[in-house]
Amino acid sequence: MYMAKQTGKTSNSAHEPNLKGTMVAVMFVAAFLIISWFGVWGIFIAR
Amino acid sequence: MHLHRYEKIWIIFGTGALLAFLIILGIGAFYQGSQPPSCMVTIDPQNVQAHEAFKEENLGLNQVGENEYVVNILASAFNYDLGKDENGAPVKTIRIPAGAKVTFQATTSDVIHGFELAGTNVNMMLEPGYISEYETTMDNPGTYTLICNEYCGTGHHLMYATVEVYEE
Repeated sequence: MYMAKQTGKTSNSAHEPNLKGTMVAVMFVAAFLIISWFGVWGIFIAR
Repeated sequence: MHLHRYEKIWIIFGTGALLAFLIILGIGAFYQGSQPPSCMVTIDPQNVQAHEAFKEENLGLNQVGENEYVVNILASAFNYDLGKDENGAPVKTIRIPAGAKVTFQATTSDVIHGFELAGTNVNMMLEPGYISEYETTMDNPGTYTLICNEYCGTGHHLMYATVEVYEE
């Protein structure tokens, strides 16, 4: 946003930030949530 | 509002997870009839014996069907009252055949106590004035310890009983 203001341009796809690393980090969180949810559910069902 | 493609993906995932949990909760509550162990069933904590289930002679293990049992327990500091055996000694161990349907029905006559059958899904809070109930099928044979998991006073750690699930 700061960059866009400075150059007087509105943000467009050419200036889109690279969020690949963020995406990977978010998917790690997603995998952790899914695995732990099924883990707990498995314990509940088994006993 | 402009959103990055990746942002759309994780917003959809987050919202989807929330919806999935709410739907599961709704099915459990409204379709399967799940409810908290203590669900609006009240009792006079000063006079629990007035309730049929907590009369002296009804405490402990009661067989109500071919493979169906009701266990009435009166908790108080620092003891689980499971009735008395033939010799008049307090019962500290109850034995249930594996695969039996068991309803644990418990209340407390003084302070808040816990009711956890360690290693099983039976885990509830006993509050004065309310009857807590948990229905379960004891499928796995073994010896389980019933413990108080709500700190109730100086003798808290002495408050336990044993449930044996045996194979027929």
